[in-house]
Amino acid sequence: MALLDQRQRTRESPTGDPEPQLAALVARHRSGDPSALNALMTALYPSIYRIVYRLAGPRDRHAHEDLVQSSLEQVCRSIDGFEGRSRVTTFVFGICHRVVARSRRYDRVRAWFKKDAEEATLPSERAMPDELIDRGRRVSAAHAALGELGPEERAAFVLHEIEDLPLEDVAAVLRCSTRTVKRRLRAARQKLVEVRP
Amino acid sequence: MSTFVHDGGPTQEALFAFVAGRLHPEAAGWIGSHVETCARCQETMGRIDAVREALEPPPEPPFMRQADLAAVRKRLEHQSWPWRRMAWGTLVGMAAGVALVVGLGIRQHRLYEKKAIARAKPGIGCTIVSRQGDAELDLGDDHQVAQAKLALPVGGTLAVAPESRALLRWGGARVAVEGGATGARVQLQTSHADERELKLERGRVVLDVDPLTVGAELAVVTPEARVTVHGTRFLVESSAAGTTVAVDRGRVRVARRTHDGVDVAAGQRLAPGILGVTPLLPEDTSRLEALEPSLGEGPTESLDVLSDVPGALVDVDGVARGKAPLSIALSPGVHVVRVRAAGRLPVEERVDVVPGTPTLFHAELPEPAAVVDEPAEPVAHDRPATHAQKSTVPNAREVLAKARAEVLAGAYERAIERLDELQLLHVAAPVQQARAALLEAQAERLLRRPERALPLYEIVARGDGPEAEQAQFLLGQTLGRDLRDPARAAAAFAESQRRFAHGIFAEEAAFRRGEALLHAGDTRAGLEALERYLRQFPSAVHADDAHLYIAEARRDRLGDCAGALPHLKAVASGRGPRAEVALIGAARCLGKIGRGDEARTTWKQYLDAQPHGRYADEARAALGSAKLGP
Repeated sequence: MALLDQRQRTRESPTGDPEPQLAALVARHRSGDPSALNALMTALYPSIYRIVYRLAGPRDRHAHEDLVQSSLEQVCRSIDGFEGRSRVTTFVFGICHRVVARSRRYDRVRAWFKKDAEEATLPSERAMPDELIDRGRRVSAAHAALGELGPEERAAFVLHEIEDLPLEDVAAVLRCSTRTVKRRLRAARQKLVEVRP
Repeated sequence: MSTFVHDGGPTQEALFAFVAGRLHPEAAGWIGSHVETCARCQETMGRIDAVREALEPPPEPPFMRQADLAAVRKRLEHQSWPWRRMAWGTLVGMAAGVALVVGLGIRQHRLYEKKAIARAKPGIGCTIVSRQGDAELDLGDDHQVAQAKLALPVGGTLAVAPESRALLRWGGARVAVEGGATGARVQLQTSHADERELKLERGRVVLDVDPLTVGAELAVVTPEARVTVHGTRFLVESSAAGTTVAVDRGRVRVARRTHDGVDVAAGQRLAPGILGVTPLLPEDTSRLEALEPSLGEGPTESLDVLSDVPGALVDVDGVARGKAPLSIALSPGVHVVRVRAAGRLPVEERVDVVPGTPTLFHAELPEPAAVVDEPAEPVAHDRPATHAQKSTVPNAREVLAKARAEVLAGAYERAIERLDELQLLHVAAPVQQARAALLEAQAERLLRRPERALPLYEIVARGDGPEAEQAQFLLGQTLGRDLRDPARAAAAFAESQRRFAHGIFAEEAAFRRGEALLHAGDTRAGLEALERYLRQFPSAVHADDAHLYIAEARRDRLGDCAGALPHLKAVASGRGPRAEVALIGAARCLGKIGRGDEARTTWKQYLDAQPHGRYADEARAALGSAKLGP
């Protein structure tokens, strides 16, 4: 059962659930503590940095930074309207999803994707051991497959499979039913594991 | 309907859930044993792993977090009503809202107008232009080194260490916060176009304020006085004796608690214990004039200069800029930075200050003896080298200097190639090889490839001498900070402590080990390591941080408020920037464990020291509450 043991170990999170700390910071902010918003921004930054990357895919640093800043700014502006009916992270992921979705409306996003796909398949100048080459190929293929997912499919996949959000929370973030989430997940999984020519 | 990977095998959904570790143990057991013998499922698992790897974001580039947070704070402060960023739908909704308000009548309309005016009140940003010595931004739970270009938000505090100085731009005002003998601490309380207020808790501030618009006011508030201006250059110093005000341009109004208000005109000073105003002293004049050359309009980028010799003198483009560590604002482009210190050889480099990202220059000043000990080329030939041979065999020291300059200029790939070539040619002495590997590792980290830096550090760490010690310490730092692997970082720091118990990183490694263990979730070992650190280094640099880490872990992870208390008190009794937070923590802990009288005394102590502090409302509420104890 070596495989099982290995998989179970990867599941452990060393940092624990940040939710109580975030909820306390939101409460402090709402009670008028002027320092709470800064502390909340600092605490949320790593999650926003990560989720924006996962939702939008790799792009140049400035484009990624723009999305991170826009998401963080939007979170700060909307936090007064947070009613505590969901987890803070679910609320924040919802905002990041909408910021990323809005950015896709611009034509240049398509150009970014095209460029990234080209860059991802460029041969590396350095000689690498065989296993690294194989791994690099597999990851490049995964990037290409992720690029073929629709934005809603990608969001559902990232939030449920990678961020471990329950289906109900994913539905709340994407503002759709759990049945729709399941359908998008099924389509995304199919596209990601199917053999491509 | 679920899709099966193959006939008789698991569904795709189950395999994804297995990889994510979401399956029930029995189902996971079945899938685990099936996959070990099934080639098709193994292939699918490989794809799932690749997808997960593709979704792993790269490590945060250095300073990106600080720059992003500062940018967002600035946007929130400046752009209170973000018309430009609104979606069309929101605009349409707002238009409907306005129409509704008009329809509701004049009273509601006036109310709406009032709110709109309040919202539209423009804020004025306060930005750090340069720092000389140590200074820290305290933003509630977030503390960061005060670097050039960072914003001081409303409610934020700037603490400047003794003999250090920070310069800020605050709209049309230029502000120097000077640590003097005791250190300085200022809090930005209000920052609107018509009302600006800076609270000086201790230390000295020098301001040069452009003429303000009619009705606008800028004030510096000390515990005893409120100094208001309309356009002038002046200095306010708050000490135990009282408040001193000196003016060399324009006029300021000083309102004091115990005296009538008094005007201080250009060329005059008002000092505690002296009735009326007196002429300016020469030191006032020199302090006021010192503000002038440091704050031109041009500089937009920041350069941080660090040195292995604390207090080394730094010249930029031939002009003395102060002592390292310092952070200064510069125009983009190439600048000549020279760092010198007594007993060391000076270092001079051309540093390219690139727009958009903070530039770091770390000067290692060589000792004269070390340079003589270290041959430029190893003596590998029996006969003297000819001129032709010298030109073909690269000089290791020159190669290292060039590579270092390339790293500083951001040409990391070129530097790595150069260093790789140097290693292949075997012309470098062992010390130079170690330094080359350390530099290459640094370049790899700057290229966001920390995993490539690890083997380089490991090789150097196997040797001995200061390079090995540095490599062992940096190994821990790379694992912890870049690769977010606190458990391995703790092991690396432990190795650093074991091998270099009396080395220059001994104290730092001891603290970082404790910190990493706590981050890795090993509370007991982390607490033990930090407590040992405090015993071993009683006046340690990170003593306050260690106390606060211990207090936080005891209180939040072990529920041991009584155990957290002595550590909070240790920080609260000091004069560090976290003393206020620790005092509040101690008061809360005392309340929680039912020591109501002591909690009240602590809250009172806080209110006496900080009647208008950030936690003053909480203190008053706690003093009025019956929950504090019997």
